Amino acid sequence: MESTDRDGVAATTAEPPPLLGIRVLDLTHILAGPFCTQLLADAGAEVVKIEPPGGEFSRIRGPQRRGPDGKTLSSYSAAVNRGKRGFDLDLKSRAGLALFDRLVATADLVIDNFAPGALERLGVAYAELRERHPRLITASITLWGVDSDHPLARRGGVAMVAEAEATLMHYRRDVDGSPMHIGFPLGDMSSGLAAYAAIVTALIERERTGRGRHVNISLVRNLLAMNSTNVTLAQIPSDPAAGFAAFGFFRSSDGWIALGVNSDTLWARLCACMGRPELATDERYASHHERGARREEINELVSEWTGRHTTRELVDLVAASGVPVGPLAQPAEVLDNPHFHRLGFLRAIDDGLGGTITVPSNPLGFHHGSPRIPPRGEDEAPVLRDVLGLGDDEIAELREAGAFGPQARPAGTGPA
Amino acid sequence: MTAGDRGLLSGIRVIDLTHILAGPYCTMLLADAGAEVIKVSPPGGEFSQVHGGLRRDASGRTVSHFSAAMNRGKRSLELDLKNPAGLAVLERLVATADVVVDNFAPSSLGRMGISYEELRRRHPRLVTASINLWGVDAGDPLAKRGGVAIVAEGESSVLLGRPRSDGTPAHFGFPLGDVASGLAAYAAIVSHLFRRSRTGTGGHATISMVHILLAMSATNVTAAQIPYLPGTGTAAYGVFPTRDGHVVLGVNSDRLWARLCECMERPDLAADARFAHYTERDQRVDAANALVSEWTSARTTAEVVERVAPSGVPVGTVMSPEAIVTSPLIEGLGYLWDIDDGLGGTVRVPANPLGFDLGDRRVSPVGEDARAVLHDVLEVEDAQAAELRRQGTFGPADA
Repeated sequence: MESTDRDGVAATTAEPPPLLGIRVLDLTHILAGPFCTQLLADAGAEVVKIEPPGGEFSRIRGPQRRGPDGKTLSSYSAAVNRGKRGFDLDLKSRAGLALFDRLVATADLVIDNFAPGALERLGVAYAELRERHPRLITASITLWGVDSDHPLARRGGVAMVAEAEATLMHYRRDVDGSPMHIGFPLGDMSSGLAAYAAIVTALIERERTGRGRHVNISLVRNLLAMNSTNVTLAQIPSDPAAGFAAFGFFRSSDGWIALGVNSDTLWARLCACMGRPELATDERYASHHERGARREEINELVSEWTGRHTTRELVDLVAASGVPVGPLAQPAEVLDNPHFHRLGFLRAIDDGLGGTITVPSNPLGFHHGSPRIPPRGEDEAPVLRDVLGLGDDEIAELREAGAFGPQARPAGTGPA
Repeated sequence: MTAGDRGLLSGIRVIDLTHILAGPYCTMLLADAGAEVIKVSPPGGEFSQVHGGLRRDASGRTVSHFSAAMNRGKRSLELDLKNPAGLAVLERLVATADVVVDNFAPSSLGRMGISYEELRRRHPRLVTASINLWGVDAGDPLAKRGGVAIVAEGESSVLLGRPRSDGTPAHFGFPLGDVASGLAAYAAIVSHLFRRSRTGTGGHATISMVHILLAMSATNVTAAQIPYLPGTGTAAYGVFPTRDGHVVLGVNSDRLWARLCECMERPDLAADARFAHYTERDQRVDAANALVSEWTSARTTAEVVERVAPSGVPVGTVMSPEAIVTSPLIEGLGYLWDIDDGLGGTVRVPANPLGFDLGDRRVSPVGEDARAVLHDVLEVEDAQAAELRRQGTFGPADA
């Protein structure tokens, strides 16, 4: 009987998104938190993104796309904010904080990724909120996962520090032996995914118990778990001679490929691809154990062959054999990968400026509506009308009281 | 560590057909959160249970470093799924289960005679989940492409996000594609379970290793469309040499630059027009970094961390797995657990990444829980179990 994944996918998309009816108050900024809340929005949650007056950090830093009306979109913001609605709220103003409390009363989740203690200084205490609203789930993403009174709370946090402390930068070494950065924001994105996972788990628990809980995600703890096998290998070492040959990166005539020979069968198939079937029966190379001991010799032999062909030729030839193979793509090349478009891994969405931008789609298989990226400084009125049922007069009063930031907003830069 | 942490997923039963890393990481997270995970291995154990570093006890039983890292809290059962008797037991287990998960190649389940669609038709509350390289079914042209995590890392471009200075790729050195997919599969499964709690109907999740890595590198994808100006970077942000190793510094604002300058006793640089504002500083990355390197190089890593940490400038040490096992800092945070290795000893493992801690921390030796699972789950008594054994349900009958 054929596998039925495709039917399964079709069934998934026909079903309601899993988090329909869940409201999220999103205080997050930059990447880790926003990636989490983007996953929540993809899965059908209503995400209200609250930013400080002027917009959060990722709006401002880095390269920007400029729209016809002068509004801007940063590359960071484009990557992690689709499907949210939002507005600027000044939590340092009394009116802003009071409005925040009213929003919390309607929410299932409040989430932030500030440094420990930052919210408390604004007068927001999660424990107190959960006391008042027992079904509320609160979530924090921080570097060390500690409370504000812990000595580590003062240590500034960027994901790269967590990647280093959690042993993930130990292996990647430059030609001079110095450790290299991971090359993409792994610490942020994987911790955003972990936060999503923990939050949905807490939602399941709440269905049973009627009570919310606090979710505490530490970048360091999350990343360390990703390296569990090396942590146990340090205690249960393997035979140093063991290891895979023809497993790794090989230079082609125009780039690099990855090859993953991890069995005798696959070795024989690779030998056939190389036009060297005799190597598969050669007793020096035939068994996994022998090949492990002659790894360098074999890798040289394979390199000599791959170097004579283009990446395209090698992938076409080897893929048909079932040996794991693929190109090492440059980041800019992924936009042109036909598989990514055919399989729906990439999708063009509304960039909030009147155009579109191509972004990776939801990796969990959930999609909700036609998301767009909320422009910076969006009008607060529609959100407040929908969420709290506020009238225009009330919203004007809040504006006057400074709830959305300093009153004198220059004409043409904010909502009408 | 609180009593309230017990059993977020209590009452959820998972039939775990996974092997090696991606799937086992997913089901370990399910077990950590309180689900009952029944790990079904082929007779003798799956690849990762019998390869890699092996710890052996006096009676010859072993635990692999893979298993120690990935299989805590699961009940272990061997089933010969190529034998109709084994397949029949699997079907009886699935009938009692909430989740079935695998990470086989797309066509493998079908060859074993297992159809998730058919299982969900019979058991509408069931959640099924597959992890594979491309997230495709057996009929897709990509289904025959063999799948290992490094291929996903290459296809998604995360490997060349930062090549070595000579242009060659550098291995991550840890199974990024596997663990990222495992975490994603966990996230998808709990999402389906939450929907089921409201609709009563299960569903299917397909996780692609390539897709999850592409999604995690979304900023690289958008940066390809909204590019940085050539020649700019972020100054004082990266790895810097010290007298005895390296240190990581993460200056990402003018305020932090000023504080770092104070740490370096060079307040003049904070006011210097070439460096004070990031728009200027980031055009002089090399010059700024040379100044920082000069300062870090004259000190040990510990000295730099001690000096910089109180200032609030992000600073860190490049830790190794060997060193972290005995790190008082990490131990003090509770981020390392000493678990029962199933052989009477202990092994130290990273704690649950989601912060859930139920205290159930043992790696079952392969097949050890067969009798208990049959008894508790299927109400199979010992006499019936012996008959199943004779039929080769758990592997060749003389084994």
